[in-house]
Amino acid sequence: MKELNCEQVSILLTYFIDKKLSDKLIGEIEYHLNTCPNCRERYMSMLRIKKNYQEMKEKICTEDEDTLLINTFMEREYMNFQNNLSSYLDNELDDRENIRIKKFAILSPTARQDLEDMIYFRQILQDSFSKTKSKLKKDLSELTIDKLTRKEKNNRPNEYTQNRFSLLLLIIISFVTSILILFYT
Amino acid sequence: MEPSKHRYKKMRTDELIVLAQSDDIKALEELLRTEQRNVFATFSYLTHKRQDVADLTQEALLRVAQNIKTLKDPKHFKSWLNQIVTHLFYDELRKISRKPDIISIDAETDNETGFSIKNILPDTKCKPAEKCISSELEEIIKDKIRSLPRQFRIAIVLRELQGLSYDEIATATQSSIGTVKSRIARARTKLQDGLKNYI
Repeated sequence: MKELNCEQVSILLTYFIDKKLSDKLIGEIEYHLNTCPNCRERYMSMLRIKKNYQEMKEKICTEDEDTLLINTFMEREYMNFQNNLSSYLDNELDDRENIRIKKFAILSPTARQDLEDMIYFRQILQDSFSKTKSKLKKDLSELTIDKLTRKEKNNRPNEYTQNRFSLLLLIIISFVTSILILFYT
Repeated sequence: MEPSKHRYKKMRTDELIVLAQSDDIKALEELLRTEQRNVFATFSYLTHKRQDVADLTQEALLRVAQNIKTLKDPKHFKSWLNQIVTHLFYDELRKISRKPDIISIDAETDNETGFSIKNILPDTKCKPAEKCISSELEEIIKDKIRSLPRQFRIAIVLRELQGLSYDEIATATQSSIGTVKSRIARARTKLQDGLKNYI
């Protein structure tokens, strides 16, 4: 059989690398590669390309895993963010949690929007409160002081009434004793 | 205005408290004057019945005046005052649960506080500043807060209106900080949802 020439080998090379040829052809190509340095060089470079490609492919696959990881991380952090947003605004978180919320608000646009909504909502509440405060028309402080002093007066027994009471008692006692004395004498 | 009154006006709350505790009746009056709007607003968001608000405010102020000497640290005034407010509110709830809800038609206008149907009408004095919200919205917010479960309502009002810390709210409502935290968070979410269409 006639030996394969360089042109034929170069056409078959890709199939050779993927091992999609008959044993007979493989043997012939191996024989040619051992004898022809040009074709051998081409074969080696094709092998390198294939290897690189495979590495890249693997890398992309792990990147997919990474994005999956990132997604679960984001989900978890978002849950935490939602749970702690209220306390964060009230300044009731410890330093570590505070930073965690801040970082996540920078990282996630959704979280930032939530934060802004909440701040806006609180402003509205504050406005509503100050409006309600202004609706108290009458000054109750004077009234309260009045009530207080009146109560204190009532609680404290009046000296005047006390005096009158003792005077009355004295009169009654003297009256009774005088009657008793008169009666016995 | 007389100069002495003006002097009290410039004082800080803790100074007023110390003076009031040493029987300075003018200081006490000024203290009540500065706090009355706050107390009034708090009750406005807590209690359902409009005509009770003025009475409750008056009663709270009276209790403050009577018991100001029992307050040990002027720093705790706010939390102390809110304990009074919360107690009064609880008492009121207990009363309401005992007697049926009767509203007198005559009691609709309250001369003492100027409560009347007029207050529900749009406020013409309201300046067109961006901070100014309409009376209508204020009423809506009030309604939404009032329709929250009682514990949520107290927590959110003490936090947002009175600016108490979680610790202070926990003390005033006799619950744990964790409970307060979740009540406030849930109250906010509920309110935000409820007001979504208005703000």
